[in-house]
Amino acid sequence: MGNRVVVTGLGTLAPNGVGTADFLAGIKSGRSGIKFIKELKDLNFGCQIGGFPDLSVHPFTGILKNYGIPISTSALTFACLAAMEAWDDAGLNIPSPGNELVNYDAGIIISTGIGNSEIMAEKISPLLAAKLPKRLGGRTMEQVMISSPSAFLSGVFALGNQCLTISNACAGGIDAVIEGFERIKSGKAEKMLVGGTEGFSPYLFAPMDATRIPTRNYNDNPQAGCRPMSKTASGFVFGSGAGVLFLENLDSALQRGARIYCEITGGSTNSGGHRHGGSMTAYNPQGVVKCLVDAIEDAGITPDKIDAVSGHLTATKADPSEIALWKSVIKPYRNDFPYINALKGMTGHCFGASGALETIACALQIHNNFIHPSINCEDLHPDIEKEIGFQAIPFVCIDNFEVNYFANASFGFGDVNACVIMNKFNT
Amino acid sequence: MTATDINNKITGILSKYVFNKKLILKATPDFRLTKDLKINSARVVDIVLDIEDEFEVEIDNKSLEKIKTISDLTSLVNSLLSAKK
Repeated sequence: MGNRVVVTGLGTLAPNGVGTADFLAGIKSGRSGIKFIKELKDLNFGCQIGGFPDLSVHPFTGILKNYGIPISTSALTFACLAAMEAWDDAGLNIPSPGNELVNYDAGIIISTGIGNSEIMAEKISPLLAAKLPKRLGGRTMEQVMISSPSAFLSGVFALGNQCLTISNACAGGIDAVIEGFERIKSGKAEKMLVGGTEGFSPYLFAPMDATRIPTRNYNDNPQAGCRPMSKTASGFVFGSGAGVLFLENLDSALQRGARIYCEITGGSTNSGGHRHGGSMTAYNPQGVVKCLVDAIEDAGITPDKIDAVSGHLTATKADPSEIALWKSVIKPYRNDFPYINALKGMTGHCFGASGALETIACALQIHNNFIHPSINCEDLHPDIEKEIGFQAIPFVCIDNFEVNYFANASFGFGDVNACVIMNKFNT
Repeated sequence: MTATDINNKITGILSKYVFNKKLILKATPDFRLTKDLKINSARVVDIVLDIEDEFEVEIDNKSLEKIKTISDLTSLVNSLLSAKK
């Protein structure tokens, strides 16, 4: 059985909300954070729209320097700000730099898809071209490490348990949540900061743009650009930000009287092994179904108990097939299909952070009894309408809706899948 | 450049890398960079780069390895500046 695991803190830096309170208001109202980005136009990108959080309004920006955290890469900065908010939101004080006490029961797992691409491109590459590696100095190494967010943050919070970075493309955010969940469930940790971060940089977006998968049709209408489940969806949209959750052993949370957003009851992460149509850029449908079924089984429930689904749904031609896979898992157990929504319509695809931001959105919906709208799909794809009908799509916010079980999944490049099951906390 | 100018410039560079600013205020020439000023050892190469920029000198690896105290830095800068003349 193991320990029960609850979410007691949230930290959010999303294109449509800076700080969790603003993000909550954003997802309830269907606010898009997607903008036209002149820099991408100037660089001849096909997709010239994207989303990024506005750091100027974040309350913790000023204190990063107190902990020796450089603000040279956006992935690192986003992760640190989100983690500080999650820690503070959990009701804990951020330790002062001089405090020598290490918490060996608390750890951190952060996902990032690409990492600190700005350092590689803007600092290392020009200095090597000038044959001046010495000028990189002593700090470049610690900033270019893909593990720099988790490493810097273990120092900020004096975390002595597991300190780990996960890189697993679009699935990494949920992978981090599941790894932290399992670590607490097994008793190896009491508290875990888990989540994901992805920076905002043309160097990060360029290889994606070159795949021609991001949309090129909405440069003059950015907020309508990301259209999960729509028949006019024409590709994903660049997103960036960070989401960090504070996971905690239930006994610890109850003992200190912490606010509990929701419980995490199960999860699964797997790969389709690049078979049955799976590849570096497409999933093996069999692997996806197995991941969803295993996660639901791990939660100790049957699919009919699921009240809402947070899909991966990136606004590509894969959306209808994803819906068909969800239906194949749920349909044998119930006639109707539960609500399904897509956060990416509002945020774009935040890659290594996307699953973490979606997990935060699920926690907020469970805690506040609502289903956020899935924007830009008024023209629902006919195949999706045929599979699950209009009634499963929250075109507007559904208020006063109690979600007992939320299924939340991400599928990533490399044929990797992750699904976490979250539920309303009941003693 | 006077000796005071050199000392002030070196102190200014060091202070960027010292977390506890009280330490730099009470620092004497025999203060060790890592042990007494609590500067992260990985930052010493950044201090050297800043000094190279500030005084337009070049510090080789052998000299870098010998830098332990503030006075080691001051002596090194003085000798490099003298060699330039």
